[in-house]
Amino acid sequence: MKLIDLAGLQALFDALRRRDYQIVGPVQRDGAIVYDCVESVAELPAGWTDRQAPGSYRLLRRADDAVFGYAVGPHSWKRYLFPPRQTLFSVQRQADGGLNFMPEPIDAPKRAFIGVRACELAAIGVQDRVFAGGEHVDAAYAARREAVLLVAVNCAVAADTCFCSSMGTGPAVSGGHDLALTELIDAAGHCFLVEAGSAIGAQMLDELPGQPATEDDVAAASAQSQRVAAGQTRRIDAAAVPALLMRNLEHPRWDEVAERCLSCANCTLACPTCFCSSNQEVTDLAGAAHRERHWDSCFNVEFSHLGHGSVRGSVKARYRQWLTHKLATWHDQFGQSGCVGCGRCITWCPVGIDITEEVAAIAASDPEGTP
Amino acid sequence: MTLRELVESQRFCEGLAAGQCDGLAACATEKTFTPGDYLLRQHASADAFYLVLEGQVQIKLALPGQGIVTLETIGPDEAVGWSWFQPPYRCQFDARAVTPVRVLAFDAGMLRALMERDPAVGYAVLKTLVATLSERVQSCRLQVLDVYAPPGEPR
Amino acid sequence: MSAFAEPTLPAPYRIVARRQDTADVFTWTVEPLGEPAPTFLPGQFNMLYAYGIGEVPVSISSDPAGGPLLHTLRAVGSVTRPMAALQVGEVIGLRGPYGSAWPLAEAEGGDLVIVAGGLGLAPLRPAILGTLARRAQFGRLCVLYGTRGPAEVLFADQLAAWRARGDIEVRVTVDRATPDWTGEVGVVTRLIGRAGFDPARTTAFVCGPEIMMRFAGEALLQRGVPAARIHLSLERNMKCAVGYCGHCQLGPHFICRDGPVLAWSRLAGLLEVAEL
Repeated sequence: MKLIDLAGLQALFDALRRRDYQIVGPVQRDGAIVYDCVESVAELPAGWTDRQAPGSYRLLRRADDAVFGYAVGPHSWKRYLFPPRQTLFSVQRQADGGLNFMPEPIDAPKRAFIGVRACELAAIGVQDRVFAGGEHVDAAYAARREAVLLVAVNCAVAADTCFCSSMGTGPAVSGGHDLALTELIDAAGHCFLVEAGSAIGAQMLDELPGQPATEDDVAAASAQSQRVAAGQTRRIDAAAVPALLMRNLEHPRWDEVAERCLSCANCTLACPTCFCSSNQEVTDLAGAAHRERHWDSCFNVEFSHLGHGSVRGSVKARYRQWLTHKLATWHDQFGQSGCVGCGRCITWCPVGIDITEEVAAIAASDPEGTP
Repeated sequence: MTLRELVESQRFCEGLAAGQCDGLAACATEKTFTPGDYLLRQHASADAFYLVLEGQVQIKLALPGQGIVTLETIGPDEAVGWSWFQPPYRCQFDARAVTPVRVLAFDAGMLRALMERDPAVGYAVLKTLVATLSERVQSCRLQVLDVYAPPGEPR
Repeated sequence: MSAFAEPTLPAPYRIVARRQDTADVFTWTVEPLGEPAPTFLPGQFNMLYAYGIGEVPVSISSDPAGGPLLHTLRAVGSVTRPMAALQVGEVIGLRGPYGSAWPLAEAEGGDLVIVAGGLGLAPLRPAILGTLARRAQFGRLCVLYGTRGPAEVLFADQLAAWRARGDIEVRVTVDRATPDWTGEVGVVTRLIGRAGFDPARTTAFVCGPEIMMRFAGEALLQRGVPAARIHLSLERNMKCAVGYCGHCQLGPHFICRDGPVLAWSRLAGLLEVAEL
């Protein structure tokens, strides 16, 4: 472990650029902290923090210049690993009436993600399992994943909407990273504890100017993580929730939440693990066609269209599908929860639906629950 | 199997005493029909209650201008007719044998009188009748639902 | 690792024959232009693509042992209606086969009851042919078919030929008869009580509209067929057919991958919940 300063962090950026990595990191734009290409440490959102609540997100100025002093924003890394639009193949109609199907070459640029939180590392792991961990591997996803370097950050603050602690995914980074940073900022100074999580991370760490970390530094970082965990007020009983939801598929709470839910699909767009997609055939007048795959959402009514109509025609059915998939049936399909406790669905829901509250409401009047 | 044994083996005899089964057997005869024979005729007096033992019976209705249409096929272990139970005791449809048919035929008047005299027998027979009716209603509902209709066709 | 984005690329196939089965159901015989068609198991489906229009899952309705590759489709929507207008000689895209198969091997040694409704006879036809190819390995074989009316009976010649063999009980019923219909009348579930099979040693394959499958399953259970030996073929909206687009889910199951053939015991509690 090393201790580096802001100049050291810039040195990390430079080392990445020397290795031809496109750097993607947090920037402040349009009142939120989003992910975009960055080249220098100066572009990071120094001195900003966020205040999040159901249906509410605000940036506030900090008293210091911490560059990672906020929780997660509306973007997640899935937009880079699982792009909103991809061309799958193109088709050419031939003179003799034949069809020529041509696969699309994979676009997998080398990218370094800066500031990946523990919940986001977990979310990447969840999508790894969906797209590359089964019998059918999405080759494009696997290529993009292989080409990415992950520079994680241990959270120094949690938003009120965070509940990674109860989902077992954070706030401390525990694996899956190439490098992990913990920002330590106080009256005495501003530095980052850096540790490697992989061979390539270790190589890069060697190149960075800095001092060996002391026991006090490590203790400070650890104490910070514990404070962040202890400060989280929202929770879901992750072990009990799958069975709870699946034995309450006709609970009146689903009707109640359906009265508030707009079926706008914001939660599925913001969620870092939602993976549903759809295909679209695109044709041009010159006789060429291609198939595009784009993000879709189970909240769209035509998502479940079949013959006579949609299987899930009501908002109640679609909300129930989303939540039971995320928290329950995902376990049957992939051996883990689909939720990483990042709280984005709570913050970005325009009517402020809070899944932790919905689960608690069902649990409170669950016929089989302990009172 | 004797007639008595045949009657005793029917569902409605379950739980009845020997004497009560005797009473039912007294109302029954075993009958056969050849293909084309009518078991029941629309508008005729509903004099019999049939339990099919073998063969197929069809419930038919004459539709003016369209000929005779079959509404339902009834097979072994199924009952034919319930108009015998309700005044004015008149059949609503034709019931016709399609194949050679063998039935247990119960004289409606004798059966009604027995059921009035002995409520336990009445209840047992009614249970069978209700089960039959409920199965027919369920089948009818599925037929009405027109589950094989093309999507988009107005219901 | 493949350098291309879509390993499940369609391949070009030519429509070499087309038969109109009923007013809105038709069967294509297709042949690959390139590599020979992969073998398939009864119950599996292919994704068929019409240039510039779209792609749909279609049951394979031919003999799994070999011979011409058949697909039976119903013209119901924005993709299948234009497909109904395609002529013999035109080229489509095909990828597959996908999905789980009717468990024929599990059914050997006992009786097999096939309950089909409407277009549901199409994905069951390969299973029936597969059974006939090894007839001696099975006990009683019952094919129970129900459809809307006499004009909608699918594969009528085939059903008659099977009945004529003498070693299969074939019963056909219609919901609504016309005056010239001499067959059985009533819902297909009623045939279950009449067919000659021993529930204790029976496996059942059921395919048709979902509500018909539910009632048929209940009737089979009531007759004593074990829940683990009743198999349904389900249908859901499909886009990728390989379990990553999310559209075809029913509870924990991806119908494209864990289905379309699923045992009743695995569906317990799911089919009864409205809009699941």
